Amino acid sequence: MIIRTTENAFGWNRQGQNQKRGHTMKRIKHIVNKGERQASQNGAGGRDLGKNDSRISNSNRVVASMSHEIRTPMNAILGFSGLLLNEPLTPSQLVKLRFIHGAGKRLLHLIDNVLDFTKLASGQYGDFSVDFSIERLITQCVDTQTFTAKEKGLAIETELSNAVPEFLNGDENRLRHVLANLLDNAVKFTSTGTVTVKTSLEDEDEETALVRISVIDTGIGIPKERIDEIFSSFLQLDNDLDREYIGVGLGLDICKKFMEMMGGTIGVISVPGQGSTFWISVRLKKQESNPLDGQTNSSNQVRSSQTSSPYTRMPRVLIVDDDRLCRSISVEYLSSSAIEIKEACDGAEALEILAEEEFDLILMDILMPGIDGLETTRRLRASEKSTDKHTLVVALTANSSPKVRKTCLEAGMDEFLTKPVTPVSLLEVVHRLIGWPGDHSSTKSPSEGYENQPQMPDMKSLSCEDCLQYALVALDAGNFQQLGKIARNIGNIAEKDDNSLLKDNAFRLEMASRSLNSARAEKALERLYNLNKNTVEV
Amino acid sequence: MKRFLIVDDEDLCGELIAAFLEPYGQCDYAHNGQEAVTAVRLAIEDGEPYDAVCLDIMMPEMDGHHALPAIRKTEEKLGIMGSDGTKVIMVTALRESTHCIKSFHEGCESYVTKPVTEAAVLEKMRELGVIADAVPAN
Repeated sequence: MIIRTTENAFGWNRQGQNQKRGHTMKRIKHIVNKGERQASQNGAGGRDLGKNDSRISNSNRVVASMSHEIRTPMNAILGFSGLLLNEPLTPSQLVKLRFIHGAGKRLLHLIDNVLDFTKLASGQYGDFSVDFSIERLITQCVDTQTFTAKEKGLAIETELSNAVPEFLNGDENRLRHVLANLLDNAVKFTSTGTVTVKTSLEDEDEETALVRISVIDTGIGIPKERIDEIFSSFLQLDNDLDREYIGVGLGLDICKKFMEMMGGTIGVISVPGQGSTFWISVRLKKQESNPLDGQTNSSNQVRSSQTSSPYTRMPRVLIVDDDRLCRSISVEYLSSSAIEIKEACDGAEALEILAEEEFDLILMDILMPGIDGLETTRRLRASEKSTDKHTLVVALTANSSPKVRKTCLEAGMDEFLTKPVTPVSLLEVVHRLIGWPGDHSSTKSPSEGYENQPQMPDMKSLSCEDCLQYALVALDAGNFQQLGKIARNIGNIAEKDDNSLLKDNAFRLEMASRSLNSARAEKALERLYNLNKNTVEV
Repeated sequence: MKRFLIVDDEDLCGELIAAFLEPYGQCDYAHNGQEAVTAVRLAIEDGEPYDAVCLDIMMPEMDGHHALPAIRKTEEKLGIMGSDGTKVIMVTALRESTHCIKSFHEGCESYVTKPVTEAAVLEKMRELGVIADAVPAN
């Protein structure tokens, strides 16, 4: 729907609808060229521009101003939904609000790109060369993606070559835009592995350096026959591939234009299933001194360092609360982060779990029947005495008096949260204590990552029987998202084995997980168990 | 409790329709035409066929125009004919009358265009007798 609107808003597809793609693309190129020409020659060569083109140029201006107009209400939608996300909500309200917020962000991203494109087409972009630090530029671009990457369990690494001069002169803003786009795509289309940003020096003379920046991912890759289209797929979002790559077409098209305007080049090397390397290459003027006047301390640091995430596994959090609703709210709030969560309904169960497993942090309710939160913490600390372990404990309590606080700390708790907890306060405390790098809380609201769910273990190598075991665990934990993925995996196995009965029931399980229907899921899982047993016996 | 199948490749659109229908019954989700056809078949085989299907047209793999005849064919194969079949409401961003006419030829009962409103979806459901006027108590 958005796509059609965009085309119509530009006003060029009305005539081009039945034309072949090539024609349409030529037409865009024509518009872009025309815009540039018009800007530089001030209307010279008007003969070949014709009436249609001036209409398009007008509509470009309309789109450009409209995009700004759209941003104002968008701002309100995103701003207020973001604020609401920070307030205590029921899980159902939270889910709905996340949809609004996520859709708003997607729309804004699209508008931003449309705006860039129209500006480009109407020649509003001039040359903005500034002195800048390439290292700082890359670090900043990487930082904006760290949070999303972490959620997906991805590492972002930077390998900066010593040969590339750190201080350069060029169009930093355009470079930033291009690099941000490439990184955004790399993170979006990689589910496991690493995204690496690499710099290298291709050529150098007295005054300039030809610098290449590569963004290497281990993502889905791009089929060979589609590579050319990737950079010019602005109007091709209709077909299947572009649906998958939605948002890329617009961005990469602009990246290419930007690189061309800087006299640089952009390209991609890709192996489907293994990953892609998007690279840009541009000649920049060398700059002797630090243009930032010591604003950055990076010059003292060792270069070619790796700034990858230190996490080898997801942080684990245990939620101890006798109230099921309270537990589920905490789970819901934390589910936006790449955190593994386990629940215990009282102190005794918590201690049992803690004797077996290791956690990074415990959210502990104080008032619980049987062993209360204070006593549970005391016992935990006593058991930790002989080891050098210290599991972080955060008290969750409705009573925030200094006296209670003191008792909590004396019992060996590390931090204190008052009920009702808000997503922000909970995430802030959890993230601060677990000590994630690139502290997100100062720059981003915790809602930033809601579209991304914690990464699941790689299931492709699992057997059907293993999958069923995992499915049972997921069902018990009420983790329907994981259950759905497992069901999909069983479906794939069944497809390979040409077992239609198994496939049908795997689909039943998947459908049940999508609609969060545990009764139906249980039934489907039981059938799958029986089917699997039968095939094994045969 | 009614059973609804919502077929849309965009989770957001599907969830929205589900939010309208949830007071009236239970919603299942399919993400393309192929999944929709399988879901309809399995529901009949399980003896609890869908009361209504909300079917998007523009979807990857199998679109709504292909899914609709396939759903009717599946029902026929399983011995469900004519008005006994599930009610199919097309929910699509395509406003052109050609798509609308085509869909009715293919066997849909109703056609709603996006952006959809709660009133529009519920009205169609009432017209088709899928839901009663009042929200059922629990």
